[in-house]
Amino acid sequence: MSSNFSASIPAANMQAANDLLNNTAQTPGVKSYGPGNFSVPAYAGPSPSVALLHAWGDPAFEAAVASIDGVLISSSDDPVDTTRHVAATAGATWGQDALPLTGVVIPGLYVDVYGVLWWVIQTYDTAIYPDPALIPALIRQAKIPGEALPWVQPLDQYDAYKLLNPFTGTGDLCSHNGNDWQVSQGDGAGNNVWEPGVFGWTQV
Amino acid sequence: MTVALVANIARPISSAISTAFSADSYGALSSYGLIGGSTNPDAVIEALFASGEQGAWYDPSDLSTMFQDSAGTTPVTADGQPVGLILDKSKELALQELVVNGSFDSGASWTLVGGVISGGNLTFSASAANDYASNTSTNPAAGDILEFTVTITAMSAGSIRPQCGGSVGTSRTSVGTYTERVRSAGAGAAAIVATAAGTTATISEFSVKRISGNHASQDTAAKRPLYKTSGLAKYNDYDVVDDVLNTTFPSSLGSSCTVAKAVVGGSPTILTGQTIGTTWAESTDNAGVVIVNRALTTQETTDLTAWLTAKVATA
Repeated sequence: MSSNFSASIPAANMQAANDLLNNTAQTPGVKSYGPGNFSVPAYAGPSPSVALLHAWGDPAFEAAVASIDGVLISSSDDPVDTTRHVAATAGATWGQDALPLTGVVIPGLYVDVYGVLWWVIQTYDTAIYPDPALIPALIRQAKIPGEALPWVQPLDQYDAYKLLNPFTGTGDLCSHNGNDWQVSQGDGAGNNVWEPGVFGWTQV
Repeated sequence: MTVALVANIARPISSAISTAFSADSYGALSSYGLIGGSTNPDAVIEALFASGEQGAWYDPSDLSTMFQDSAGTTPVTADGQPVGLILDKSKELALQELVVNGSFDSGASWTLVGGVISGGNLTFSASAANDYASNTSTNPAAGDILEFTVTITAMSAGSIRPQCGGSVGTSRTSVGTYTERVRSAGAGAAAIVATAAGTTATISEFSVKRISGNHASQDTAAKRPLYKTSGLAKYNDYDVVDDVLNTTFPSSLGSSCTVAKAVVGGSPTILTGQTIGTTWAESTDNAGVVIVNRALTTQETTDLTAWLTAKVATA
């Protein structure tokens, strides 16, 4: 097979990388590979910090991706293994690889029986603390770009809601008090730790 | 021709097929087809849409419907190539002309800025940049696959370019007949634009044809599945990471839909009573997908099962 690879880039750089691959600047003679090539979230904390892609059958596209600063590339015949590997190389866990939230859990990405992603900060026993929402010092809900999950009070900038989510290009979403909300204002770093309806959220 | 086939021949054939060769592969279908005077195994699928049903029919084994890019410019020709567009065969790939009076018999249906229509030609003479001839054409919808054809019979300076539906074709600078496909970005009249100041050119024919159907496409390179072959099976391989082909229907398909797939390495699946809105996202390996906005008869289900089974037959 001519090309079969996965790639990662830090989430902070993904929009610039996607703009380059899409030739958003419409530079003459530069091919566009379409919008949003880096789109798959990987986690090293409660918010996705790495963006992934997998592509095959297009060597020119692989060359274009490889030319971007900060990109890590891994190749093999198995798309899933390759994607998992390139995420790990970047120090992150592909969202699809979250482990079941049961038993004794160590720091990393987990998924509960309802399909909600969680990031474990400190090792603990889920039999002793069965409700993760009650132990934010040990575990925090992980955000899935573009999904309006139930709002959880952020404790710091690491799980704050973002004015500009690099995966969606818009403000973070949540659901709260029966409505869906989107971040419309943040602090100087684009973080919002306020309750929806109090400050910095717009009902959508 | 196809309409007549569906109306007059397909149903009797399909009925007999399932009676004589239930759960058959193409071999059996073809055998019966010879007896019945037809060798078209696709007739049973065409019949599902014979009454104007909405839905889609994607057949990766038909390479004439597969393209590496989402505009339909570069065809899929071999194992291991990405798939950016697969045409829906449920509307028989009929071509609908959108331009009115594309042979310039008169000035009717045209709005001219800097151009002149006379003697069966559209002429630009030392035009200003972006002079144009705009047609009262039917507007395409976003995502429609359009086929531009323009015939330039004389050209001494500048360049001209076809456009429609918010999408533009290639600028041409010399005499010839040019055909190309684009994917419509949305509404917008068909037009010919003199893209350079001083353009002097004569155009004798302009056509924009819409390929009917609900085509599945992917603009983003990383999200395109791969065309693969294995034995007799020809299928689209999705990477389970980010690959997806998207379809937009003109209206919601409702809650009585049937969704059938030729599953690679397994038995066909036929789901009934499915609710489908105005979009469909396909992301699982398959050698054929049929979506129709109604329940099927027992006979149709038998025929469809045979068609799907044949699609994943191995050597």
